[in-house]
Amino acid sequence: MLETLSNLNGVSGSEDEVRSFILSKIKADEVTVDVMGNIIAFRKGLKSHKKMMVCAHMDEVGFIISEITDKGFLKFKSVGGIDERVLISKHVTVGPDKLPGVIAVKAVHLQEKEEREKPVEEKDLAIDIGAESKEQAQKLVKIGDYAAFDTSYSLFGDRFMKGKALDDRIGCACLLKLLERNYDFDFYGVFSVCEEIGGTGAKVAAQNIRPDLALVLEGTTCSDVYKTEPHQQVTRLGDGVCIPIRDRSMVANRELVDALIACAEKNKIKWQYKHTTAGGTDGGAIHASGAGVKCAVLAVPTRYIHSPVGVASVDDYEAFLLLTEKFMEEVGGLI
Amino acid sequence: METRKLLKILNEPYGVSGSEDSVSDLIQELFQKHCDKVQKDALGNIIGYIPSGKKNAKKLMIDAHIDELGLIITGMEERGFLLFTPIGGTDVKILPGCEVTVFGKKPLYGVIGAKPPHLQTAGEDKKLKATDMAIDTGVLNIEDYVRVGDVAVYNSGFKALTGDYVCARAFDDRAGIAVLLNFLEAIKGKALAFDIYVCAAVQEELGLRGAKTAGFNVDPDYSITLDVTFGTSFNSTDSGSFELGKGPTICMSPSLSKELTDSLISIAKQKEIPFQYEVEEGGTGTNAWAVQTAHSGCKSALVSVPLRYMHSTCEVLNIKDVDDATKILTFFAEGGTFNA
Amino acid sequence: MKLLEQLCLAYGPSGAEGCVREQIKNEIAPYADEISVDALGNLIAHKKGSGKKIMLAAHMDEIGLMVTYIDDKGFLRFAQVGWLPPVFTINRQVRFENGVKGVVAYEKEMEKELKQAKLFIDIGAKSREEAESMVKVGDCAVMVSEFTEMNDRVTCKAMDNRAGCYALIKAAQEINSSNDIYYVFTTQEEIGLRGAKTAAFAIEPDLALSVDTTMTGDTPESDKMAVTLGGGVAIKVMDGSIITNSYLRKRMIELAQGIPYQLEVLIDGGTDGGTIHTSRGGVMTGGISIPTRYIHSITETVDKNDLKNAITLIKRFCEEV
Repeated sequence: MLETLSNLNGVSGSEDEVRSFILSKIKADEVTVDVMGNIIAFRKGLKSHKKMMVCAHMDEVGFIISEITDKGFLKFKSVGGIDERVLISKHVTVGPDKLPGVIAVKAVHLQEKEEREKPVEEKDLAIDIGAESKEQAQKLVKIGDYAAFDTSYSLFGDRFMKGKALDDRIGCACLLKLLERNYDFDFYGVFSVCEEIGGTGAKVAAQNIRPDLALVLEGTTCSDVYKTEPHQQVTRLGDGVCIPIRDRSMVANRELVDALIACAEKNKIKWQYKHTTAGGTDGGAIHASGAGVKCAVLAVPTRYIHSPVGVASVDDYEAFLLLTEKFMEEVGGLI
Repeated sequence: METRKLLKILNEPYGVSGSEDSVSDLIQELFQKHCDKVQKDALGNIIGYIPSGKKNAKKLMIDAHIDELGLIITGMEERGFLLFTPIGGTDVKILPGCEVTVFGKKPLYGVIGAKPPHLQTAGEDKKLKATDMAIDTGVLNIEDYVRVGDVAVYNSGFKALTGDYVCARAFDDRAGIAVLLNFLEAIKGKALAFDIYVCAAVQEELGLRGAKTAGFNVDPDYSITLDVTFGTSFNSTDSGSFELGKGPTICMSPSLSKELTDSLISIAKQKEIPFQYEVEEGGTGTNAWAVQTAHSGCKSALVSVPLRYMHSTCEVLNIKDVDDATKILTFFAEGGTFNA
Repeated sequence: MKLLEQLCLAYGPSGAEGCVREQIKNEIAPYADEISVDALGNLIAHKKGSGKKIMLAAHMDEIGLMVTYIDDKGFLRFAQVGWLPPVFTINRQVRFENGVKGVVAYEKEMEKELKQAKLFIDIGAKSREEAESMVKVGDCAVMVSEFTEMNDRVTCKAMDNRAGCYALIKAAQEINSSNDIYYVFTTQEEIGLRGAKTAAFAIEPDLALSVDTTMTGDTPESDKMAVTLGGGVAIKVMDGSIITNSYLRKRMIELAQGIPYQLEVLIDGGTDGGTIHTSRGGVMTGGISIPTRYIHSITETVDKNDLKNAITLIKRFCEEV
């Protein structure tokens, strides 16, 4: 499931492929797609009608085509925060037909000394699809088409996985699983759009649902890589599911955080803090919606997030699945 | 073989400079189909021989290199991170986010990671250095699988773009090898003006090392090197870049034989095969430089296929240019206008 | 260690290796059938045999300082012979072949980045005339240092590559093989692997092994490198001049069973193997390196056990490869 999800293209604003796939797999009492494009899946409460919203975003970082040059190359803009240092020489697929393309790079031999050391800026890049001319390119691609990294999902090393869109298809896969049953309370599963550009999807979904409580399922930064000091590592791969306290967009509800930690401890599930306050999630939009919503985040650490290849630990992912499942059994008391 | 298919096959095996065995095995097998004799020299060059049957025929050596860029492992860190240094002229800016295969005791997947930009301290100014990166293999007991000196290569294989445009990690110089192989097929059974030696050379990217010993072993009268040259892209300002699809380049340089070069040009003109003029003011940085001085001296020429994004993980060429280079070479070997 | 001390202290900058060559000649003579010196000054000791023709190469030259100009006051300006950055020479003593001694100094106060052009040698001369009676333009000096034992380690100038010469001589004493072995003590390695090039062309070996020193990555804040001092003899995979033959490398790892060894990838620098392996139609070439700290300084430091292991591996290579 995660493999298929990660390989689908769904750059913010063009989540169609992901949405269709999720709609074909989803099980719920009622499924709607709202005006923004969010999927809202509803499971009726067995005992109460208090509302719990669990949210995972369908979109991923990528590119939008902004111009077709005279020679048939595609100029683009990054959608979502991508480290521009990783762009050159990477493989992408363009548009709904997934046309193969590459991000052009000047041959190293032709670069002046300063150019060799300086990262290339996005404005100086273009995608090459092998078009002979502007006319030919225009037949194949339209301005406003999207491009995504061309990286396939697989397992590797000692229980690691890699893929282009683990952030946040990991959350989508988990949410699909949670939607397989009914709970004591009304349960709204939201597959949101446009998280990577500011959480516009989740904001509208929360305003419409007016939940009493919300949980956001995410992929989060992990920088436990070579040459990074321990205090800068944010999270460490393999150290368990991450329970963030606060980030740029939200202070997580303390009561919920404590309950998540207690639940993890009780069930002997490995968990870790997030050692930074940077980054944001759909939680930012959700917790401040309406009269305010108690909200927390559960996340899977992902190395090289927002790059062509994200890397996550299968163990962390399993801890994430288990903790959400256990927590859903207990959370009724908090609503 | 159909050029597209050949280019695909040639990009399957890996051949980092100094570790060319898997690609040289393939070339040896392919050469054997067409040559009377095939030998592998002490450095690993594959040299095939096709006699003309003519008495006192001159020796024509045609070479292309089989090695490609890659990385060599220099150390291991905790939790499966491997330190490396590039082999061959590498733009380290392309490395973060690259997927690679590490050839340890078994092939291992890895992705190259760098410290995230927001964690760099002031003064590090986002400059990318290979020594600040590591290959992330996710293998916790990595010492059991990998040793210092093992090599790694980029994962990107052959990929078709629009029309005649194709993309792969090692067209430099598997494109030249493709010309060489299609040339061998084309001259089969034809009368030849020369005794022909075809050479798939190793270690070009490290300083033309293979071509030097191959040139000594063959000691040709004439040599033609097949390599790639810079293709124009969307932002090319450099006059030393060439359009894709407009034919291979024939190089004019003080380090190349005017007689031989002129002859290639006149054949291309006579047969109406598209080509472009390339001019170098000194050495060409290709095997032509090493071959001509390897033994008793020879007249050398250089034919190149324009290639975009040379030395990256996504080199792009136009198949027509490969085919046109093959045609020029074939007419030349059959005699053409050249008086050997 | 007496022999190593003598070799290290001997005078022998690139292009003027006569003194060290004479010393080595005396040491190697008993183990060779034939000794010759070629046009570039390489010392070639041939131990005849019916087996494979093996060339073992260790360079005898060291880095030095060549006089380029003598000024009115008798100070000498100089050029580097081989890679010798100013920080290694400044305020050090130097010595010429004829015994004249001097000290290296820097103009005025030192900038953050020292410039070779601002260095000069003071040989105690009071005028140009006096200086010219002591040395001439083109004369070479070498650094002066003591040979010092520190625990299991020894330190001196020119350990690069007298340690290699020492290992080759010691191995020659022990080798018992029917192979046709050429012990070659090469010249001009530090200025472009030049001696080894002509020696290899003349000898046309089946196999070659270059024996040299290499850097380590085990001192505080040093550049990352997997080689450590005392970590065993290093089997070379790659440096700036060569990727060693993969078959020989595999064989050497097998032959090193039972003795500590490590694999070496040196990012810069070169060795004699660089010109040997591309000689004529190509030569299968391997490399053995002796880990050395502070390379090209007067405190080049090697470990006695590494040296011993290098000798063992050279011997096994000649006898069993």
